[in-house]
Amino acid sequence: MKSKILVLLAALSLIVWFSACSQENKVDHTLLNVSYDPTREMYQEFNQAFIKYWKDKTGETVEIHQSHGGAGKQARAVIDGLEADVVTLALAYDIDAISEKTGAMPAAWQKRLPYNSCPYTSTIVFLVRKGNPKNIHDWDDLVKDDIGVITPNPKTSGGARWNYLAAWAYALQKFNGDENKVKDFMKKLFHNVPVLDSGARGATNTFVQREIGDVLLAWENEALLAINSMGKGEYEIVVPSLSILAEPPVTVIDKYADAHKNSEVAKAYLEYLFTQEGQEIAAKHYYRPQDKTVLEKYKGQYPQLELITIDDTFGGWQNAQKAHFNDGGTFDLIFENK
Amino acid sequence: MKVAALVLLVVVFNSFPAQENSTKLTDDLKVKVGGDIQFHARQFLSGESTDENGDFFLRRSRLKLSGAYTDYFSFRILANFANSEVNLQDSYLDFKPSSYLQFRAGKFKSPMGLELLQAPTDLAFIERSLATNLVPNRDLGFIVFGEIGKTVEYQAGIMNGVVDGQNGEGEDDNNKEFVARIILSPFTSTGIQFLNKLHFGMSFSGTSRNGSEDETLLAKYKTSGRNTFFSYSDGSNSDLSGIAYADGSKKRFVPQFYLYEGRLGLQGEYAVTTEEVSVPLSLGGTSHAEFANASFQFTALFMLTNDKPSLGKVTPSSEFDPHNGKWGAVEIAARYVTLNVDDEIFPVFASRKYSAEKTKSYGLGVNWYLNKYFKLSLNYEKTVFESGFAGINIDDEDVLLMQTQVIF
Repeated sequence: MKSKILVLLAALSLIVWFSACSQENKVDHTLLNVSYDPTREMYQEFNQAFIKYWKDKTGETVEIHQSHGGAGKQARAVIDGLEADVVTLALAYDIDAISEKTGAMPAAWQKRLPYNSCPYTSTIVFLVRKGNPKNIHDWDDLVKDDIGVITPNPKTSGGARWNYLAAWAYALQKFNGDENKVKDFMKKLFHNVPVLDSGARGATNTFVQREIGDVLLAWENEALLAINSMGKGEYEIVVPSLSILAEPPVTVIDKYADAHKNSEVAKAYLEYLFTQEGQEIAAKHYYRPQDKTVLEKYKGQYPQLELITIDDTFGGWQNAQKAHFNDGGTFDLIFENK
Repeated sequence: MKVAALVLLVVVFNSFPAQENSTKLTDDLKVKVGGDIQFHARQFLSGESTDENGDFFLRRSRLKLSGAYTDYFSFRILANFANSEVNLQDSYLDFKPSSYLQFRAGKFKSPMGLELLQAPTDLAFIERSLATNLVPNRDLGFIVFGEIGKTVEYQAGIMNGVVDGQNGEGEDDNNKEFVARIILSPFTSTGIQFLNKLHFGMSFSGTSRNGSEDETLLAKYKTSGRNTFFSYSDGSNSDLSGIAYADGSKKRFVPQFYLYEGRLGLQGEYAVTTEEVSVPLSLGGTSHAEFANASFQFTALFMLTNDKPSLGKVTPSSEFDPHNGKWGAVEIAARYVTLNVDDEIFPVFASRKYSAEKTKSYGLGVNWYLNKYFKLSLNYEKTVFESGFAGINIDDEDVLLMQTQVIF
């Protein structure tokens, strides 16, 4: 009898202990942030800050999952049913495609947050090996013989599309708008690409870890990360005479956030990107914050260069996508023109 | 030499007196000789043929030898002699200790695509649909299979692995492929009219493929008119990328269903193949990516005469005998098929000039079963290539196909 009571007490203790643990680990919301390749580290830090902020504000526990890959692939995954609560992608066109093909959020999604829903910006710069042994200074140098250029595939990577358009804009200016000469220039540039990765992080790894190529066309934040974390003293940033203002936008995917009962927390998550703390985290990871105070504080880390915009030079993303990356666009033509 | 040996084999077995299509060689060993001939004629109403066979050709001319020893052991050899070549299609042994646990080893159809698993003589259309481009044909390996009650059929095994739509002749890399298929018919015993004949299921395969520029292990997709409308880069279309080859994981998923009830037959499948591919670039490096290509086919058929269509052989209730006013069985069929290639394949891994991204086909057919041996078929199929690239070098295809068929 005594042993039965002991067993019963032990069982009750276990039940109490397990229920206490489960209370402690109770998660009120689980968010999925589907993002592009180079934002991993930034969102790891940002997520921790937001989780604490939300706990302090509401008492609720939030768990945040991240998914990273080439922006085009990531957008396709959401279109195909990946239930992202929020997307933080490399360019507006990919989010437009999600809205258009799934109807999961309104077409005017970009008006829902400040700065056209772009909490930070970046640009495209060159990363070269220490001492710049191939003497690379501007886009012209990328089309010379014996130069290996690392850039991802514009069909799968948002960063690669920014690279492509920056090079195109430079050539357009250089050749006074002569499109045939611009296409020749772009063909020569891609002739110098020894590896075409599907995303920006893969391209960085190819350049840094596999030591392939002489120059990496990179997001400014990715280049600064490579210099400061992945190989200190091993690389240098070269700032071309002209580049493009890259504006990676964010939005809530209403359909999935609503279904997961995450609408409020998902909206707060993205709004937190625009707060002082969110902007500081973006700046620490070498993105250019929109907040002028934070930008001023970190301005020393960003090189000064002439930046063209997608709207001014290409008439917006819809036009740029159609002319350059859709079926029969210039990227198809330069690749298939034998 | 191979031809002579097979002909001799058939002659030897045919020299035994026939008894209900099979011959007893010993007290227990029974063998059966059979075969089929399919003669095709085709007319392109638009588009052109790139197939070397021409407009009249023997699609199949096959001899089959099958046998059984007791209830537990059986075998089958099937060879195709069309185009004056010998092609060993099936050669396998079965061990059947029970209906729910059976074993097969040798060369046979990989259990994957619904339409592909049908005998070509039993198809509603003369040529299989575009969906067959995404599933394996015959391969060498070993499977377990069986039936559990009246509601579950299964097959699972290990094969060499074969390129989509093709027959395997041997090991082309060192990786084996896991294949599995399950078909359920949960309403069989419920008595619910119509649904009790519904079968649905799923096939799956998974492997890793190590191709090379010499042996790419990548498929080319063909239309009903046997024209190639998609192939990966062979290096001839771009001076920026070379010959693409399979390089990494390969998976297939094929959900499928069929329902044959009364004079109506319906069947469909959705085949998705994902594979990792590499292509060399001009400076000696590569681009590597994973792509997903998908195809959907839906076929409906209806018997105009008082006969029953079938996934297998059709036996008309009255055989062709015009003197007595009997005409056999007549069936009409329609099908709709789509095949979408991953748009990220272009332009680095394939050229839009020679390959279509989106393809649709619409088919109409009539089958006249004169008796259980002879069948005449007439099909019209329109295949539309939607690429959105003005430079594409592929015309839409309108083809009229005719077939005379005998099974014995």
